[in-house]
Amino acid sequence: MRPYLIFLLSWLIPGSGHFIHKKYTKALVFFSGILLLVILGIIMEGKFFLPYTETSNNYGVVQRQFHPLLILGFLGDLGLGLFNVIVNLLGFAKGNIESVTYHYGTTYLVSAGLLNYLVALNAFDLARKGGRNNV
Amino acid sequence: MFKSHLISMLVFSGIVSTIIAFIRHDDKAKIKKEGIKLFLYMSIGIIAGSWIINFL
Repeated sequence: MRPYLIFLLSWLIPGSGHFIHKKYTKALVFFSGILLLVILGIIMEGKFFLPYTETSNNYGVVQRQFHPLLILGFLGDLGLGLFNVIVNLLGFAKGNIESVTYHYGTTYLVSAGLLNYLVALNAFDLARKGGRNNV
Repeated sequence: MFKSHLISMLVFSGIVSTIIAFIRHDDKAKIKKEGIKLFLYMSIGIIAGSWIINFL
């Protein structure tokens, strides 16, 4: 399979790139580890970043302001691939700022996305090398 | 359980260090060693850092 396709697949479903290369232990660890981070992030009432903030002016018109730091957080969350889509569709990870664990939950979610980028890059590298050194 | 910041941090360190150790190595002994090392670095580093911040 082509390395870029493996990267895309691994980004969409964490660990799937390693699974294709018969690295089953790694695939299981990556999938379950990232899923666990997402579940804990949701339980802790963390939120997914939006790339903008919304403010309404005196006339009630909602304006969106994009912010570089929010965009970075959004890109981090985007690393979750299908998990991001599923969680958004289910209406979770909206965040509750009043919760004690809100910031931890948000950190769990964005870290899961960033880790999945690393996992996908590792799968890409593995595909380029031809899947040697099986665990 | 997760109302405690310490436990939240330890769980986070545990999961992240395990995943990174599995990314970096193929050999089981190396994975174990790297995982424990990363976990200790992260946990002790965060505790030491927050203790120092306490004095600022």
